[in-house]
Amino acid sequence: MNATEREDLRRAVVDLLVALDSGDADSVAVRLGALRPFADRRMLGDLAEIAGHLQGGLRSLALDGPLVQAADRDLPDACSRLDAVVRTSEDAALRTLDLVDACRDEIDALDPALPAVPRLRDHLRGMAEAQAYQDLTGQTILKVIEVVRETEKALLALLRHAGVGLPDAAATSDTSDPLRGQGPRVAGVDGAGATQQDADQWLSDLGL
Amino acid sequence: MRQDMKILVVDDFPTMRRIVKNLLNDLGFNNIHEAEDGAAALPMLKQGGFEFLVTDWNMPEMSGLELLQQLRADPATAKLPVLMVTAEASKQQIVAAAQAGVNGYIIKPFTATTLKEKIERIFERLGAVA
Repeated sequence: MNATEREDLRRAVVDLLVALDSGDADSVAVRLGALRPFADRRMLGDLAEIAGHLQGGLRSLALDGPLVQAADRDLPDACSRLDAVVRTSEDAALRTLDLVDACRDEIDALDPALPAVPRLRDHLRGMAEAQAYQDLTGQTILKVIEVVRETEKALLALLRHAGVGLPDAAATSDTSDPLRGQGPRVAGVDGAGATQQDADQWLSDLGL
Repeated sequence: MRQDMKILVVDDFPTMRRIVKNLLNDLGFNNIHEAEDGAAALPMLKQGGFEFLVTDWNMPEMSGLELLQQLRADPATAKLPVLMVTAEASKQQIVAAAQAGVNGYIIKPFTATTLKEKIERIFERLGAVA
């Protein structure tokens, strides 16, 4: 409240006291009515102050124009890039397998007694096996994409609660099922998994 | 186990389906079909005619484990030989697969030799039981 408002209020209170002393009921009612605008003004002042604090807080969170950018553009971008990696390496692996098939056809037409023939078949088998890398790297990348997507959702939820007005986040996924597929293990990140020997031993113990 | 037995290969990665098919061709099997998920494979298998299933575990719509459980629950497919070929390598998972009735389990990455050995072992054991 500034000096002028204080002086106005003081004069209105004095007028009310005079009216009370005079015993004039109508005059008292009028003087009481004259005080109401001061109460309303005070409440509005308080509200304006609170709203100011809120906006300041929101603005400083959303200042994370970077955070908004991350949630809205950078993280989805990262997912698209990783998707492209999976598709490119899949195309390359499939093309290699096409060429392996073509080589096999050529070898079938050769004299099987040639010593090179079984060696060539061996090499081709090795090449086909080697393309399996793409399945493992592909699954690992898809897992990273999933992590990025979950981070993006959490960030969107945070920004939404801060009132930055972004679209609703979807429900999070359940990661507590030990039988849920984990995908290939990455050294230094996931623990060591079973080897084929381990699997053979456990299955043998179970009668397989 | 005949060279022309009808085999279904199930994996959500086309490269892996190609590789398994490629290696099976190399072993002399020539009647190989593919599905990209347990959910797509189940009706194909229930329709009948398949004599061997090679399946991945980790697939988006229906996992290999669920597929196996569904097959074992249906008398029409309960005896189908199933080989799991997967990157899933925890003891819990391997034991769960065995308890669900898998006939063989290969951990990726694998060699052509391992595939051959496991297939032969599966059919040897089935032959011994029959």
